[in-house]
Amino acid sequence: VNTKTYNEKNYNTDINKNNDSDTDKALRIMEAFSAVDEELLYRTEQKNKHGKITYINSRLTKATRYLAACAVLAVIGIGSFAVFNLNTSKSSDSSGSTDNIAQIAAAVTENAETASDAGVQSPQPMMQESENGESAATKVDAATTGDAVTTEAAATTEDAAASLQDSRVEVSLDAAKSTERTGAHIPDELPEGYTLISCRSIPEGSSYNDIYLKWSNASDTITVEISDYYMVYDDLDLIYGSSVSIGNISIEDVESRCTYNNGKTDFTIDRKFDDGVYATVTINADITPEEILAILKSM
Amino acid sequence: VKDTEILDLYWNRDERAISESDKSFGGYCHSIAFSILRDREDSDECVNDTWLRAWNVMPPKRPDRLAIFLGTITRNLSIDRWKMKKAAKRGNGEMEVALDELVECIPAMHGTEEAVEAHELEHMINEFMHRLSERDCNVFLRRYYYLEEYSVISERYGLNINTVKTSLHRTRDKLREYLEKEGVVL
Repeated sequence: VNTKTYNEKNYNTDINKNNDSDTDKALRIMEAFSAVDEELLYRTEQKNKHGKITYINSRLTKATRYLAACAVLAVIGIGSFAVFNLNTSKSSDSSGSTDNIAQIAAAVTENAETASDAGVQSPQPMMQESENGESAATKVDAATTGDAVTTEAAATTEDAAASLQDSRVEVSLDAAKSTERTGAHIPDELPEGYTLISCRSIPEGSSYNDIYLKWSNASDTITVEISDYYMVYDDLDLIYGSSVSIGNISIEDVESRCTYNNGKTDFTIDRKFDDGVYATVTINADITPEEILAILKSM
Repeated sequence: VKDTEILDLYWNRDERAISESDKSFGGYCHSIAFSILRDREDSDECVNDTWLRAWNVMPPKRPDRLAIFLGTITRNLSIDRWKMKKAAKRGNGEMEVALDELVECIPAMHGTEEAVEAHELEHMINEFMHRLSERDCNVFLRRYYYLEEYSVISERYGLNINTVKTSLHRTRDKLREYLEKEGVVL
């Protein structure tokens, strides 16, 4: 018993010694801060016109950001569902028939109506196509056979193509870059290690252009959506009350939109370019504001 | 009275420099000292010692930003006093909490290298701070230079308190990695 007590005492003494030693080392680090440049210390005291530096937007602005994200997801969901229906119909009947297109048109119509009922402002072309979707579908040549969605859309009549134009299809990056107006805004600069896992675009012949790109690096993702016809963004841009174009964004703008969770940076921005094209950039990655700014500047 | 006028008083060896410094920067310096010492009397003594130290170094010193300069003197004096007090008894102030957090920054040892010199460490820390984003740098300095509490930093910069904690945690990790990469032994 005596030996045990002695060992426990020694153990506790060692613990205390280690703690003191670590504290002394930590104290050396803290003392070293005394030599930090005056400019850095001065910067911590600086205030903006509202009386203080603010690194995040107000709650209202934050709420509108969530609203924007929900609206965008709803629009993307509608488009994805239409593509899914298209693919499902195609695989069930390889000969191709008017029924397939009719089902797609019906699905698009139904989705558009659902979105409208839910208060989501859908892009104008989708509403137009839903109105004439059925008649367009009936004009499709029964002899159409297709290897890919885009091939089929091109082979059908012009009206049938119009009924499909809201559905994004996978395209090559080069093809996306050659897209009129929107292609020029695909970012050229990304941090090392990112791979393009999705590149989708509206088929040719649409009345507007829209590109969706997603890069990933392990669990990190960078998503960019570029469009020249999204009415929903017009409204949201007004809510933001900001006229900063994405091309003129500063590091302060980026930092103010960054939040940090579980070692990752969350960043979302909806802005338009000087030529009227809109972009949504969504990032969830271990990335610095400087790297984000480089991506935005390269768009 | 403007900073430059107070500087002139020091340079002209006019004793009003002390009273004017106390009027303009007394509260600022006292808050720095109190963050470290958590004792009003000790803080007052450190602030008074600050004016004396400033009197001794100006001239020839002519700092660009008098407040920062005087605050740094107060901070150094307060840390010295804290070390003396710590030998007698360990407290529960913000200094102790901040030091416990900074233990995370201590680099691992990889041999029998000699401990880094104080001025080298200062240079490295300064270099590291310049590499941080403005927000992370500001938050880190408010915590470990001014020893401000999380809630105060959160209020100052309009950040969520968890965001402040996350930022500090990430920066401490970065500092440890940086010091290890530089081969620093404390």
